[in-house]
Amino acid sequence: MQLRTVLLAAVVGTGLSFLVAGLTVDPRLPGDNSGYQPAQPIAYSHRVHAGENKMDCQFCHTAAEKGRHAGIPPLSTCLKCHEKIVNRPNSKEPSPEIAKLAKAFKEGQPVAWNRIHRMPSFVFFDHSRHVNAGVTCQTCHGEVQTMDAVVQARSFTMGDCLNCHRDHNAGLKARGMPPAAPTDCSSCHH
Amino acid sequence: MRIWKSLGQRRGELQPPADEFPEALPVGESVRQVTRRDFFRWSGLGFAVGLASGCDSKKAHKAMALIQGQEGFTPGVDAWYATTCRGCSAGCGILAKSRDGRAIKLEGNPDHPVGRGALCAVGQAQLRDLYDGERLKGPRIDGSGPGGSAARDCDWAWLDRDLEKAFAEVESRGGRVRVLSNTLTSPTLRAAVGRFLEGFAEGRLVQYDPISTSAIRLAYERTHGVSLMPAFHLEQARFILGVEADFMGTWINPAGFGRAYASGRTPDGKEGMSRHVQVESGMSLTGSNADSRVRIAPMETPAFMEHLAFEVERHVGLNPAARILPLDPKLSRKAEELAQELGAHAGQSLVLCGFNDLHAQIFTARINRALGNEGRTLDLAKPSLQRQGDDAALDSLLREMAEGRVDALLVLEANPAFEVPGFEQSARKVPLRIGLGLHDDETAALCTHLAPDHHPLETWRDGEPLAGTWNLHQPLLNPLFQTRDAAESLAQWAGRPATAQDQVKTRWQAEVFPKAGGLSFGDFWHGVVERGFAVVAIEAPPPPYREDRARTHSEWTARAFLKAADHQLLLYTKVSNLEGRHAHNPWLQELPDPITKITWDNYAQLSPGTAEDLKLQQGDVVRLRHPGLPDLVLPVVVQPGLHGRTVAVALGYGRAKGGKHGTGVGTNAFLWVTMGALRGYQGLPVELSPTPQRTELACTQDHHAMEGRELVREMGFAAYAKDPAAARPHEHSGALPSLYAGHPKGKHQWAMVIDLSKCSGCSACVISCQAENNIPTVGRDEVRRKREMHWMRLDRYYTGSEEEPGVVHQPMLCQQCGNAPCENVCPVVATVHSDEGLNQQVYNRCVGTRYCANNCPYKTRRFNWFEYGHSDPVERLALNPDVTVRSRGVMEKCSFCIQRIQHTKAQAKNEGRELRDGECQTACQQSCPGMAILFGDLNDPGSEISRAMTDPKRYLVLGELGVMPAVNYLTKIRNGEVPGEAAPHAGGPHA
Repeated sequence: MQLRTVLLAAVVGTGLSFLVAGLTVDPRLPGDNSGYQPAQPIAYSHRVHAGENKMDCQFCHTAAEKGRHAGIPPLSTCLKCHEKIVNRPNSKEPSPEIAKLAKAFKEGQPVAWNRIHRMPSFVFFDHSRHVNAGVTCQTCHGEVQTMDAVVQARSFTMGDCLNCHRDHNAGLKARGMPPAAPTDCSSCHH
Repeated sequence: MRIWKSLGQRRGELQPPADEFPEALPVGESVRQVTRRDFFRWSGLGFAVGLASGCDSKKAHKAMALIQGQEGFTPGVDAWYATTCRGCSAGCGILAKSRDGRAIKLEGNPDHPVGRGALCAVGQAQLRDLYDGERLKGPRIDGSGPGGSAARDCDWAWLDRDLEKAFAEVESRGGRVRVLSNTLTSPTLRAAVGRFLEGFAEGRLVQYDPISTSAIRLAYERTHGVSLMPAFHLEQARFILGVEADFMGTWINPAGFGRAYASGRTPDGKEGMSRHVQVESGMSLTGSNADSRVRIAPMETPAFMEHLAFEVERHVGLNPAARILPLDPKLSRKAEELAQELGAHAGQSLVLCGFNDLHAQIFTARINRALGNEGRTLDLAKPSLQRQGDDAALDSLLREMAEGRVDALLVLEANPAFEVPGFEQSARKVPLRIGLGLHDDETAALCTHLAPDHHPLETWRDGEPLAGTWNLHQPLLNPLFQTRDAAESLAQWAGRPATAQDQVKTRWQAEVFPKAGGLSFGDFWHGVVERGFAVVAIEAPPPPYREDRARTHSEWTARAFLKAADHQLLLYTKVSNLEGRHAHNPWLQELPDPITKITWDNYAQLSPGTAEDLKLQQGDVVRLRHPGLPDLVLPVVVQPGLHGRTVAVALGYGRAKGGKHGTGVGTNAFLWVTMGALRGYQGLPVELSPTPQRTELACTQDHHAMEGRELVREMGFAAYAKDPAAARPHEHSGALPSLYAGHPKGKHQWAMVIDLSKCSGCSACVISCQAENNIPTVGRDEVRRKREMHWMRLDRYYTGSEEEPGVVHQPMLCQQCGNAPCENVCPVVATVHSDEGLNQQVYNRCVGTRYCANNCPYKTRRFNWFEYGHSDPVERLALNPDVTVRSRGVMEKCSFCIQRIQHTKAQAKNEGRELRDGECQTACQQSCPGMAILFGDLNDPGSEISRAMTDPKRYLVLGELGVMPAVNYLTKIRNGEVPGEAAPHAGGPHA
């Protein structure tokens, strides 16, 4: 009797303490990965490319308006410019990061980037629908043009997706238009 | 009861299952008894551990990009390539969907003259073949052969060096080299074989077909002086007589024939409906579709054909020779009736005979000739090249080998050690045996050298299935293993190495391009690569008929058997397994036979009367004996519609080396094929002796008994033509008062109409669905436990008597109810209604209570009892990246191919236009040879589906329940007598 009570209390206590600790230290829902900012094998800066040099996102992420994935550009895309541009920005010194790129291309070794934005296997997100509907990249990915290392800006939980879709539809409704952002389960899960 | 599903049900022996999932959990057996206390203890701990660790998903995942970008390649976007199916020798054109560099779905090429857009179950399943991790992964040299001391894998250079020495030895011994293959439809490969054989003093190519149609070629050699097989044009025929030819199931070109056949089966067309009579000893898929069936003993075909030829020739005013063969007077009268009907359709009829007997085929040729069908429904000027096997050549090769007169044997695209009785003993006398097959099969085990070929989807090849129709095979992906194209191997050994692509291109430049015309070969080639085929004109006139030779038949090969044994063997092939070449493919092993509904096995089919006489029941094991042959021990299947003397056994089972899925499944009946100038598949006298054993067959037949409601409807064409409105069912429209407010209606309302008149039951849809939706196979034991996972199944109903039943096939899938019983009972809202009328199943919400399956009136929901398959890294490549792989404990069901709907909708929106009617096709619809399935948007008033909804034949299955299914069926119209026709609506609860 005694033992059982103690055991039960221990189990429940441990559980609760984890729960409380989890919620106070980092209050977030399961699946919410916002703030994730892993180091990358090549210190590529979106700030320099998309911010300072004002390159369009789709210059490199060419598939964003065509298919489900925006796509990480092949090394050959990088080398279109970086065959010539090998120095650090505003400097005469060669950049060790660009050298890594050239080396990988020469050796035929793909770069193993650390994936930041990741959906579970049962979620099917289509970039092309969003890009073609006029949703900016920044809406979901944050101000990428200011980031040296990309960080996940939003939670990308189902609630996050649905809130945006519902807000959009509410806006359309106010203007007397039919809903355009689907909220059916099978729009994303199939 | 007019409609019945099984003999047990008809005779009232079968009790409906007490509950749907009859098996209790194995608590207390394999699992230790868990007390309530244990349960809480462990679940508490689990909760804590889960909290501590489960929410952390920050594990680094890698994202790899290409090194070199490729023009026209976009990650995640489909590319379609036109290529050709090599599941059998028919040569249907396919369009293969490729995503991120791998093939993920095969579909029929609608422009292609052979398949006409249809692709059968075997063709669909080629995808699983491609990603078979058990294929040979590289060359191998066996120790028992020359030049090696131990069996080992080797590299290609080593193999080539070893073979170079071996070929020199062969040449020194006399250079008698034979290449043995199934029909080679590829002109390039044939040329490569020819060039290879040129290097030897005496080289020859021997072709055979596992299921021989050699007699047809032989017959035409007699009647027309040319060894050929005509090309059949079923779409031109208003009356089709099939004799022992399962032309919609397995015979020569089933997918293409199926589509051509269905084109004439439109009861609403101006020309009326074509008529089909099948004369057969077994119960084939084709026979199940016939308007009228005539049962015949396996050995009676030649006599029947003689009488038919006599009557036909008399009817058209020729002066036929007297009949020699005796025939049952009843059948003789039938022949007379059929001759009348054939005569009435002269020039518009077609007689197809599948019996590999010279005389039966000569009579067939004579009948088609007398009716003036040549040049109309069968083409002799552009004949079929799909079956070029020569039984006599095979027979003499076996003798040659046995006598030690062959120095080297190459086996190409064939598995003779399994398919040809006596091959193994003979081949062992050949010192050098080279296998070019894909699999580690019975033949590979016999070979001294293995030079595995690429899978057809990995390489360049061509084919000429019909004279003048040239197919192109192109690779969908780089070879998965260290294999080499057979044409490249042969070129290498001939000392003239050339890539397969170059060989194909060279041949086309020399042979096809000059006939096809065009400005430059480059442009022509681009066009061919895009279309997948080319058709060139053939100027040669058809060979003339030679009256004198067609009639000289002095000897009767068949007569020896005519002493009419009580039980005669019929060896047939199943739609799913053909001749056993695909035994390693679990998709096909688990595909229920369209007639018996049995998976993973072969068996001896007996007619109900014979079974009763012998006191045998379904599942009893019986021993088949014939003097001089090894006994066959098989379970009995009681098959309505079989002739009383027939004992039907499927070939292609009992593989000794068929991979993990095929080995040991069923019993090998090829040992009972009689060899000789023409191989015999039917008529062998059989002695049946019961054994005390019983076995449980993995049968899907009685799982879903439908309790006598009128689920299939059938009507005669005559009655329908007189008053189409009479087909309209008097049942409830489906709208019953409901407690629930209706579902909100969105922009589209998806619905399906399935025309039972056009569904042949061929099961292409089942495999298409399996490939599209990542449906696992579960294995024989699990099918026995009623846990098969197919989202699309084919229910088969019998009408009429046990001896001469009619058959109706009914595709059954989730009916996407507008008022769905499954939705109301889900405690976690994992199955919900969409505003487009779809019944959505959300896997990530499902907790597996199975309430929904319990409440589904159609029993179309499937539960994942285990984490099925999908773990092999090579097999995983076959998965459709658009569909979630379901895990254990999750319910699943047909989604109307929601991923395809989403894809086409996205495409239309991206292009700033509305969806076009017919743009969105479900996988089952796309694959259907009969085009029986129509899918579309009811909100589009101009759509085909909206028109089909007004068809008087339309009815709902269980419409009286008020569940408002979105799947509609069209009453089957049979151009003949329908049992119980007087009361077409009898049996329906609201009649």
